[in-house]
Amino acid sequence: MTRAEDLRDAAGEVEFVHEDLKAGTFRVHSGVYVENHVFDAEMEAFFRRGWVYLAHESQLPEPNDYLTCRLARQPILLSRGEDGEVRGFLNRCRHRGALVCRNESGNAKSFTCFYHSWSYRNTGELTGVTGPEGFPPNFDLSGLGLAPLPRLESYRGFLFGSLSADGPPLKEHLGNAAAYLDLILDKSDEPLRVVPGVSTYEFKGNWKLQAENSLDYYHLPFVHRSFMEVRRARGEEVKRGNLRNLANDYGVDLGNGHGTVITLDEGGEPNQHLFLFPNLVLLEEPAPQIRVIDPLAVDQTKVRGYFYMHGEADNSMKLRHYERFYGPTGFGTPDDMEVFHSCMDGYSIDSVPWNDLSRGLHREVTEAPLAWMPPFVSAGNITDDNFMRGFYRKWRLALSSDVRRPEPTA
Amino acid sequence: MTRQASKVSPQGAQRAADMTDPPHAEGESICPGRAACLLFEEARLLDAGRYSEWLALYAHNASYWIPSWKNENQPTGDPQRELSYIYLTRDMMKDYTVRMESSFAFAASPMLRTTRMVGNVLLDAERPGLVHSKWLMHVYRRSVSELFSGDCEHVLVREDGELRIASKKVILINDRFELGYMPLV
Repeated sequence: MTRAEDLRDAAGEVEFVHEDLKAGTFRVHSGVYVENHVFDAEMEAFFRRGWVYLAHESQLPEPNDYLTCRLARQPILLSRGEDGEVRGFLNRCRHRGALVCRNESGNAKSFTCFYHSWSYRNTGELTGVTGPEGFPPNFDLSGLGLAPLPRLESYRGFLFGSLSADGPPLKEHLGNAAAYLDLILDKSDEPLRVVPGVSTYEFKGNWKLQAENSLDYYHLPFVHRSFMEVRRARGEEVKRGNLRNLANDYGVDLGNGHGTVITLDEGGEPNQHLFLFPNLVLLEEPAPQIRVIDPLAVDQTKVRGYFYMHGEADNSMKLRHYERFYGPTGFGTPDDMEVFHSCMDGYSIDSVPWNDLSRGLHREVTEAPLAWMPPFVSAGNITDDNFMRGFYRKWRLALSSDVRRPEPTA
Repeated sequence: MTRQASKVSPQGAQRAADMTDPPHAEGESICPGRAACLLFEEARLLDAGRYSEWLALYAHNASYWIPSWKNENQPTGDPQRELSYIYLTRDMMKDYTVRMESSFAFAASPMLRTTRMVGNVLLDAERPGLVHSKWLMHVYRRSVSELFSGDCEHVLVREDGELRIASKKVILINDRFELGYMPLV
């Protein structure tokens, strides 16, 4: 598709990310949110070849616990063996392809497909085929165990999977972000755990809108004005209710698509919204949340939110704060969803296709504004677009060979 | 004076007509017809966006609860230790009215059209004041119709001479939110 406003590179292909430091601009073409071939390329490069967050180990604490989830829209089974090890499988019977496990979670030593009753140990081996005499004598069943998820690794309880056997190890993928995750996990001696229950929702928009918004403080006083009104009506001090009071908070590009925003509480203690590319956000304020972004289509996204805590302390107030803001019944998230729907409407206007991510381009710093900060790429004010620029630089690099084609190749 | 809590009673006009409405303390029996009307009135006020009047239907120590789900069949059970979709104390319900009346609840403005239907209203056989019902809520926004439904439990008490809602527990069977938003049921 060609448009008057399209910018083209030397090869004549449409550019989706356009940086012009001289002009002080960083722009992203809204085709990245609406074009199917872009979405297909992202699914391949990030969600099939890369590391994707799946679940937290505390969601399957006991031997033989299991849960099912999705990776690049494909059904995945995570199962903890008697030996305590968590294994990942492609949730598909090797006979006719039905789901081997149809439950969200549970405890089982084996899984029996409900179609023709082939059964598998929770370590993957095919243990039984109904009517074995009906198969040819030279038919080899030994290779028909559950197909393992090509890669599954845990970083301090956070389970990441990849549908590709090759690629950088998880630690390398996490890069600078691992130390920022450590900051959250090291706040308590007690291990982090996810409590029962999920707040899930969908929106008719592109997954990157949720990724960007999760670390966007520029919108806070405006989109969440009703939430600020609620707090003011309660007589609470609303420190971050206007942009002036966000001057001493930071937005940070951690590289490789990761980023964080850091607010300091009254005691100087940092709280983050940490984004681990491509689908995980850990939020500490206004309440603890593990937010998982599942892209379903170029214009459809599912989000799962979990409440996490350390140990067994009384967290009822934090639960109330979580519910009050996050999720489809909260006082905050639904207004973000309205923004995403509104943006998707706006992106149908293709004569002015560029989004601006230039805020703070002139004040990016590479020296740590807070002495204790682990390594990062650049930092700025929390209302700046540092993280998003980092996200789209990574995006452009990873997709440079995939998304410049006007049509996807098969 | 008739006690209606000894067995589950279908709400109905002629049964309601038989009953007086005795003054009673918290947990005492109530008239099924009056209980049903209170539930209908709640739905009407929410559909009309009359949030302050809706809040006035609740007792001063009221709570409003929509549990989440632990798995396919089990709602979360302990709001102090497990995640709910929402758990509001009376003062947090007041927050909801502040938000909805602020004109900055962008998910609900400029357009939130809803129809709440309440039915199958039954008084609990064992527990005085406990009212079971089924609900359907049709939400129309952005040219999308969403239908939410489930069960509901109200506990009704008498406060300052009026029948009030002491607690409301909403089981939401379809927790898929296509547009990321569901107003309170």
